[in-house]
Parts: sequence; C-alpha cells; structure tokens
Amino acid sequence: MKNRWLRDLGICMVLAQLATVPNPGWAKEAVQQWELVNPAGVIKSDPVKFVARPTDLEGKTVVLRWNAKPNGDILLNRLGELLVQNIKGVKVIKAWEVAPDTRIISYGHATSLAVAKKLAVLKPDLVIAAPAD
Amino acid sequence: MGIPTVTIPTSEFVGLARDTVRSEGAAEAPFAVIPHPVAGIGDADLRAKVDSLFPQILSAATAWKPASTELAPQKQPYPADVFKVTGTVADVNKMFMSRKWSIGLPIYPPTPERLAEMLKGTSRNPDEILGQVPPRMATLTVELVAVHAAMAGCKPEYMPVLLAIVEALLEPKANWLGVNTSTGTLGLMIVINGPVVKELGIGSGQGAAGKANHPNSSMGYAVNLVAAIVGGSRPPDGDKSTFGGPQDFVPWIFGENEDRLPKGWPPYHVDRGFKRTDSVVSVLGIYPPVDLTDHWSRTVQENLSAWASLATPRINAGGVCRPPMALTPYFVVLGPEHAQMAARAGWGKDQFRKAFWEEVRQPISWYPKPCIDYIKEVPEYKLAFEKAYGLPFSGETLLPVTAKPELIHIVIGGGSGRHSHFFTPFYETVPVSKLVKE
Repeated sequence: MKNRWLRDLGICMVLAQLATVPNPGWAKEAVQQWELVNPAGVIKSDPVKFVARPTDLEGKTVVLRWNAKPNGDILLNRLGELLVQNIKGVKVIKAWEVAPDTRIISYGHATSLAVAKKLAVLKPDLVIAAPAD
Repeated sequence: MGIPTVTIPTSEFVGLARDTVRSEGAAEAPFAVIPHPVAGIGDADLRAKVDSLFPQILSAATAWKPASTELAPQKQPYPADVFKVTGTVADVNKMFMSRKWSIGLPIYPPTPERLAEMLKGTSRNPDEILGQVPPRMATLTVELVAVHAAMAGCKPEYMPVLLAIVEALLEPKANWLGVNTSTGTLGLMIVINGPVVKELGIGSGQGAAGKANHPNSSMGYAVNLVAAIVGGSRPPDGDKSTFGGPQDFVPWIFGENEDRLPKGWPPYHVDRGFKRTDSVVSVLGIYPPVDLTDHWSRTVQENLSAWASLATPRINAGGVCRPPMALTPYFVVLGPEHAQMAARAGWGKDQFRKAFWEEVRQPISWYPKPCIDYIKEVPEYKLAFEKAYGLPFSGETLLPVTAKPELIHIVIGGGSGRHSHFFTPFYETVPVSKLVKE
C-alpha cells in the first residue's frame, strides 16, 4: 500500500515537471513553402461545333428518344401530343417504338454514338431526349 | 451528324449534364430543364410539368445559340503543372479540399520529390496515357496515377497493382462512368490474385477488405481519389449518389484467400483464364454486399437454403425489369468456413456454382409491381425475359439471381468466422481482369 502510494506520488511529480517545463523537442507544425504537383489532369476533347437549328418546326420531323428510365416515356408522350397540337404538319416519331434498341441507358461515349446513329436513320430534323432521373 | 438536339434533364441533374457536355468538347448545350423529379410521380403531375416546360422546349429547339463557341485552349496532359504555396500540411489539405482535390480525408502533399519516388515503383513511362476518367474525362497518365498514389500514402512498390486497377476500370465494360455518377449507393470491388498478394502483404485473410491492411487501404484510397479529382466524381453534380457511403473513400479491395481454397478449387484468376503464377486484378462496380451470417448450417445444402432470402438482384431491380440484365454476373465471396462445407460434401467449384443457381431463387412477385406490369405490357420485354431465363413469366416463377450459372463468380474471401458475402453488380458492368505488369 505504501509502495503504491509512493509510486503514484512519483508519477504526479514527473507529470507536474512535464507540464511546467517546455520540451524543445515538441515543435509546432512548421509553415513552409511547398512545391506541389497539380493532381487534376487536363480534359481532352475535340471541340464541337453546333449545327444551326430550324427556325420553326412546321412540317419538320421530330424524333423523341427515351432511355427506358421510369416515366421518361410518359414525359415524351405528352411532349409529342403538345407538338402535334401546336405545330402544323409536324411529324413526331417515338424512337423507342420504331427502334426499340435505342431504349437503353448509354453508359458512355461509344453506346451514345451507336444510339445516335440509329436515331439518325429516322431522318430527324430535331431530336429531343429525356435522359434522367 | 448535323442533327440539332434538345436535352431535357431534371433540375437536380442539369449540373451533371453540363459537365458531360463539357467533357465532350462543348462549352454548353441546349437544355430545357424540368423540375425534379420525373420518376416516381403520377402521370397528371408529370404532364403538368411538361405543359409548363413546352415553351422552353420550343425555344431550345428553334432559337438557341451558344453564347461562346470554344473551350479554353487545351494543355498537354504531361507533365502535370507544378505550383507553389506557403502553409502547413493542414493548410495544404484545406486548400486541396477547396479546389475539389480531396474527398475529405487527409492527403500527403504531392511534392515533386514524392512523385519521383513513387515513379520508381514502375518501369512504365510517366507520360504514358492510360485513358480519360469519367465523367470529367480528364486524361490520366502514369505520372498522374503516381501523384494520387503519393497523396494516398501508397508505397512505390504498389504502383504496378495500382496501374493494373485503373487500366481495368478504364475499360468501357467496367462502366466506371456509371459507378462514378449513378444515384445508386455504388462502389468498386477489387480482387487481387497471385503472388503479388503475399509479396506486398495485401490483406487476404482475417479482415481482408477492412482496416489495418496498408496496401489495400492506400491503393483503394488512391483509386477513389483518381475518380473524384481526375474524374470529377463528387456530389452534388459529378456523383449523383443519393446517399453516398464509406465505399466512396475506399473500395472493397482484398486479395483472394488462396491459402484457404478448398482442394481442387481454382483461384479466381485461373477461372478468368490466367495462369496460377500470374498476378491479376479484377474490378467490378457493385452495390454494398449482403453479409450471409450463417452460424447454424452444418451442410452446404443447409447453407444454400439460407442464401435464398438474402442473395438478390432486386437491389438493382434485377433482370426482370430490364431483360439485358438477365445476363448480369454476380459475385459470391465465400468465407473459408462456408467454402469448407462444400468441400466436405465433395463439391467442386462448378458444382457449388450450379447448386447456388438452382437453389437461390426468389418469386417474381417480390419485384416492384410497376416493373412487373411494364414487362407484361411490352411484348418484346416479356419474350426477352422468357428467352433469357428459359422460364415462363408469371407471378409464381422462382427467379434465379442470373440467367446462367456460369455468370456466378466465386471468390474465397476473408478469414475465420461463418460469413460470406453476396455482391450485386451495377447495371451494365462486368468484371474486368488485368495482368499486373512491372
């Protein structure tokens, strides 16, 4: 019992010393000048030029593209109705009905391009897509 | 192709849409933004939204012109820029976070010295271009992998494995784009096989995919830093994950426990066509796994019956809702003790695989009703489903997790304890395996 008391007293005395005497080995985090490498990388892309849009849609062919995401067909069905009701002579093609293989989510450039080619076969003057979500 | 377009993203997804357009080479594109959500709302509400949006759609179709026609001039991807900053390590971390060069955990400042040291771990040229990381599509070079490896605290000797992992992810069929951008709670599973597991001390036994394995943690962290920084996969726009999760920080990355393969069972990389002496990485985009905690079964048959209610493709609305998904591969990471039950029954790996496919089934009626109704309404979907599975489409049909037993991939993972794991992959992703090269 006495030995334990002495031991505890010794520990307290050491801790008290540590608390009052600054230890030159414990330095603050240093402010320094860094030379660092930018981790972001560079976006590579071939610049895109946009074609001119039709000035109106009268008599034009509009292809609607759905990617099978829920309710996308309902959205585009309603859009198709509005186009027919409001634009004289417009022809609406629902791509998912005439080209069912366009009804997919295209996770990447290659599939997107393949879908675009299938839509182009329908000879649209305009394509409207409702992708997500 | 010379055809004008209009895209209708929802208000929550227009940020991702703009980033995608920029990554394809355009500063902007004609959008008609519809208030979120579109999915999950009634027909009348959706029609009302379309009615309100109609004038904007017409304007985008006929009157839109790009405000600017060109992106800024492109820099070369190599060498990466070097810049100067003054501060403490904490200040560097704060700056990196503000520039979106961090995912919120500490990084080692990527000094040219650390980069040079990291590049000693590979004989490949630092200017070698590996590909473009989606969705931002910035170019990834060997040098840039080393930068992220340095930030993550990797050792130089990890570089060959890390390079194999990112090369596998950059294969289109890995669908890294989907994993990086989807609303799902997605991550990566990375399985490492062959001599490199022991050479580098890659965790493959107890807690293989967990903490305390430096190669696993640091390589996984480096991969996810690449996705977030080079790929721009971060919420709220580049990464649309509804909830996110810890797999955004470090993937499920582990070595197969080849020491505890049942006798006669080949390791996973041999299943994939590699030699046993090859070191191979295999990657897959996945949802969080289900832990099959089975302490009760004494035979493999009992064990398989326990899987039936847990192992499900329904996490991703499975093969039922989208017939192409009938051919989705699924991963079973068998704990060694569960694997031994199959071995005691004298089953080889293929026998277990076939039995799993036959026994682990769930009724179609468990799938969401709108999914089932949709398939009934679309004749080619119903036909595609029945052709893929070889089963009639009815509410009583018990559906296997995938259309063919050979689509069930089996890996022995972890150490002692009666746990196995079932991983549902993300949509349109398949395992991609790459040889580890010096």
